[in-house]
Amino acid sequence: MRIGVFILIALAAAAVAAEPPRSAYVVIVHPANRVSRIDRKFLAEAFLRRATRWPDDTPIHPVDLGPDARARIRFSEDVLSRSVASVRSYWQQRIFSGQGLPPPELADDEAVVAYVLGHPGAVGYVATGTALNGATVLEVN
Amino acid sequence: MNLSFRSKLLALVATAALALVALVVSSAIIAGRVEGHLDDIRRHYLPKLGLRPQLEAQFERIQRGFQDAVAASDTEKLARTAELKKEFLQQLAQSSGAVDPGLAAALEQAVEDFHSKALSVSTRLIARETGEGVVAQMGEMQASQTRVAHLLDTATVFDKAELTNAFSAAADAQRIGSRIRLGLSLACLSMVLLLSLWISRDMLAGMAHLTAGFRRFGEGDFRSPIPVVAKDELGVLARQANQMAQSLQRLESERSRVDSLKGVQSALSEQLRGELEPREVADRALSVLCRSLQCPVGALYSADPDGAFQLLGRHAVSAGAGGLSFRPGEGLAGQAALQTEITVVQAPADQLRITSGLAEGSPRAIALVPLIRFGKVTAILELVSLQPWSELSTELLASARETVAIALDVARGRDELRSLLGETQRQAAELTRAGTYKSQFLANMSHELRTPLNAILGFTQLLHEGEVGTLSGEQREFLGNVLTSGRHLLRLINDVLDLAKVESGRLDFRPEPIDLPQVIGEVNAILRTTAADKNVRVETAVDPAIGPVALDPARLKQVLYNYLSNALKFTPSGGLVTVRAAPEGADFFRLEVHDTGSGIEPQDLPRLFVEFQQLDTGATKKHAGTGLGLALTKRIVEAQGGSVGVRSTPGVGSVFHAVLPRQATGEARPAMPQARSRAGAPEILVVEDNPADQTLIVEALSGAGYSVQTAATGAQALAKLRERAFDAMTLDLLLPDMSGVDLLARIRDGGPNAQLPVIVLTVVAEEGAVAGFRVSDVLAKPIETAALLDALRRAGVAAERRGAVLVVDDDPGCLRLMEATLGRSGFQTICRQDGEAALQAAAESRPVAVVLDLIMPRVDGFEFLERFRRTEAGRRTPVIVWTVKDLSAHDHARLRETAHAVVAKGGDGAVSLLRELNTFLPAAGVEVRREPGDG
Repeated sequence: MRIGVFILIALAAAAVAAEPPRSAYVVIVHPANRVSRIDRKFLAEAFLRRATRWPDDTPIHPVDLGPDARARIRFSEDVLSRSVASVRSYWQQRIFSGQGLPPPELADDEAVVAYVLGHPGAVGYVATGTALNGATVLEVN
Repeated sequence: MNLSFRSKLLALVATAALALVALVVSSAIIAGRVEGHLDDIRRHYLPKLGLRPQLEAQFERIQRGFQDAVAASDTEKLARTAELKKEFLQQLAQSSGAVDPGLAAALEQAVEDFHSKALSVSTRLIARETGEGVVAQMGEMQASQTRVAHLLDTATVFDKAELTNAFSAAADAQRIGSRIRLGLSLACLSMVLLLSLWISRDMLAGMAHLTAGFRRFGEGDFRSPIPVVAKDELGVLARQANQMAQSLQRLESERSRVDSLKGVQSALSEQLRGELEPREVADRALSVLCRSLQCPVGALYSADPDGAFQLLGRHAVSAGAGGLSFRPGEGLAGQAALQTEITVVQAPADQLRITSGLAEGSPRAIALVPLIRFGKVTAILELVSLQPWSELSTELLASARETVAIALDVARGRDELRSLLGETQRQAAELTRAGTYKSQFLANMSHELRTPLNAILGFTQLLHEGEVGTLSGEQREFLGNVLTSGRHLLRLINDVLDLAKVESGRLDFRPEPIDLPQVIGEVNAILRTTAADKNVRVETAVDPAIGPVALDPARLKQVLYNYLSNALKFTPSGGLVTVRAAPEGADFFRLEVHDTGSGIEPQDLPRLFVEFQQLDTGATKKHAGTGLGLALTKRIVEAQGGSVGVRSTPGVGSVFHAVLPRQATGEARPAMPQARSRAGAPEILVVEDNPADQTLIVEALSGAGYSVQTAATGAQALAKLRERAFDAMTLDLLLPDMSGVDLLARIRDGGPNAQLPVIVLTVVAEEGAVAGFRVSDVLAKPIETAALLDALRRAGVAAERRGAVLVVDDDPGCLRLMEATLGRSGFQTICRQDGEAALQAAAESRPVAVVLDLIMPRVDGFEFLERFRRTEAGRRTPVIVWTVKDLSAHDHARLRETAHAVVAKGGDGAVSLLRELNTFLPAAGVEVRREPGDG
């Protein structure tokens, strides 16, 4: 029941988000993922690979769009609260110090969708309007 | 242990040194071990400790290199990471010691892998590949990176346990080392302590022995030596101290031996000191020796002149004991007398009967000591001992026997001397008594002889001078012979007496200032007749440089008389005798009498001045004489500090001389009045160069109461005439320096004596010679006293008749003589034969003078004088002592107080007496001149 209510709300939110001025991207997960809402902070942690496990202890596999993608820029600013360049710099630093691997950057939204669908623990974002193909959109609050 | 202290000390030092060396070595070893541990830590662990951060930093630089290159999309920078990798690998290689080689290789490989993977990733990132493939490769790269980190960890991992182990190993080594050191130190210390204790114990023990020993030695206890406990230095010292103690003991015993010898010697010296009888010497020596040698009995036998030995001294020998006398060779004691060595007979008690001088006791030993003086046994000392005889005792006896022998000898000698001395003293006393008798006899004899002789001479003179009556020529000549012989006899008596005085040393001298020419003149006058008889001329030469002379005039006259009479005796008729007086040095003058006699052979010269020796002896004796004159002269001159001598040329003549002091020392004659001038008496100047004539005139005038001055030359006469006025003058016309006429002329020329009455005396009556001169009278020589006095009276110059003179003499002859003599000179005479009567007469008739003989019965001259001086009348009256007595110094002293003059009765009759009397008596009517000190 409660999940249903939560989905409803997520849908409502998606409807609202689908509006271009408001949200240019949607956050998607594998349909098997039972999470429907995600805390922005947790999402940022996941993308910076600081949080690595979902609440059900499955590993989180974040995936990025290319640095020039509009959704990427908006996501960086919204969720990570920093520029793409800053994020990339952050990762370069971590890559060579062996502290972690960045989410792979995929060439387009479809590739992201495909990746999400291919990895149960994956989480990604795509530009609003992209065909999701069954990927679950998470409500970000 | 028999080790010297040197060895012990060396051992001690060596032990300490060894311990020290062990300590040092062990410390070094331990320190080395600890150091090894620490080095291990330093080399092995410390590099690891620093290597990890270095390698990590280096690796991080590689990472950052990639990071930077990717960030800058710079492939060049990317290429530079290879260098960084290389640096890393180099660093790794450098610290190969710290890293396990296997791990190092793995690490190298891992880094290479990482680098290649990172290079690939970086290249793709720069190529903007961001897909899954890149990420996958990144994952591989990071896996490689993790592997590197792991390997770094592994390679540089620091095993704390290992380090702790290393440290604890070092600490253990340190601790063990400390313990070993401590143990070694303690061991050394205790060893040194033990050694020291050991050494000091030995040393202290040795020292204690030594100290105790030295204290014993110091206290004179040499019996127990110092125990020698070890062969060390203290042992040596102890041995040497013991040797020293032995030497000291020997010295001590030697000293005590010497002491006892000395003790006996000094006891003997002490006891035998002083003047002891031989018996006392024997007893005392025995006493000392018996006491010293602890002999109960001893005896001393002395050798007789006949060789037998008699008991002289004894010590505890009973009087009845046998053997009081023996002869040499009889018994042991007699045997000892035949040898010089000390005989000691040692006898076991009660086994041997000894036949010796002492038959008492049962002696253990008998010592027989011959006492030897000048090689002769003079005594035997026998000592009996009840104890065994010792060498020391023999030695003591040997040292003592000479002392005893000498003492005994001396005592005997003294004994003999004493008896000899007693004999001698007896003889000397007898001799002295005999001498006294002789002196008394001589004195008595001279008095007894001279008293009658005096009378003979006096009366003869009176007769001879025609005072009693007119004489024929023959009578006069014979009387002259009587006078000459009498005077000669008187002189002989005087000489004998003088010689007696010389022999008894009682010749005394009374020096007074004298007029040398006058004395010579007086002697000449005495011998004038002799000279005239032999027709011998006598000349006199007195050097005025002699100056003042002070001598006993009587003695000087005696000397001169002897020489002169001798010269006259040996000078043939027509010869010449010269009397000369000249200075001899500053203090003496020389009196010489030259004659032209036969001379004396040189071999006879030494006998001249010897008593009783005459040159011509025997029956052919040509010249009279006793041989006393010259001997007496020598004695008299030498007694005054002078000397006599003679030189002679046989056939030519002889010169006798006497050297006399100008100022004789001796009892100075009191200042008796010498004045020839007296107040009130008429003063006559006699100018006469012939001493004999001068004397004659002076005596005649003086005797008549005139005051007389003389001059021998015209110059002297003029000098005196200038000085004062005279009452009259006699003048010889033949003067040596000028004629009497010239002198007369000069007198008349002026001066105080221009009107002087002058009586001319001349050999030839030359009345014409004085013609034209106012003279009172001219008289021819030889001069008659009466004529001269008459002439003076005619000239108005008369000596007044004077008062009474008291003459005191026990000899009637003398009284008569004096009465006649004084009467001629105008005196009354009161004669008394003893002092008592004289005192009475003096009180009754108040004489103007007293002539006093000293030797009288009952009240003698001295007593008379004392009593007379106490009377009112007698206090100032001149007293002339007229005596034959030889006055002693004491007599002179007494008379000096009371008498005015002393005149010896003698050959010149009463002339000298008259002269003295005139000196003290004034002319008539003139008060008696007060003498100094006369009250």
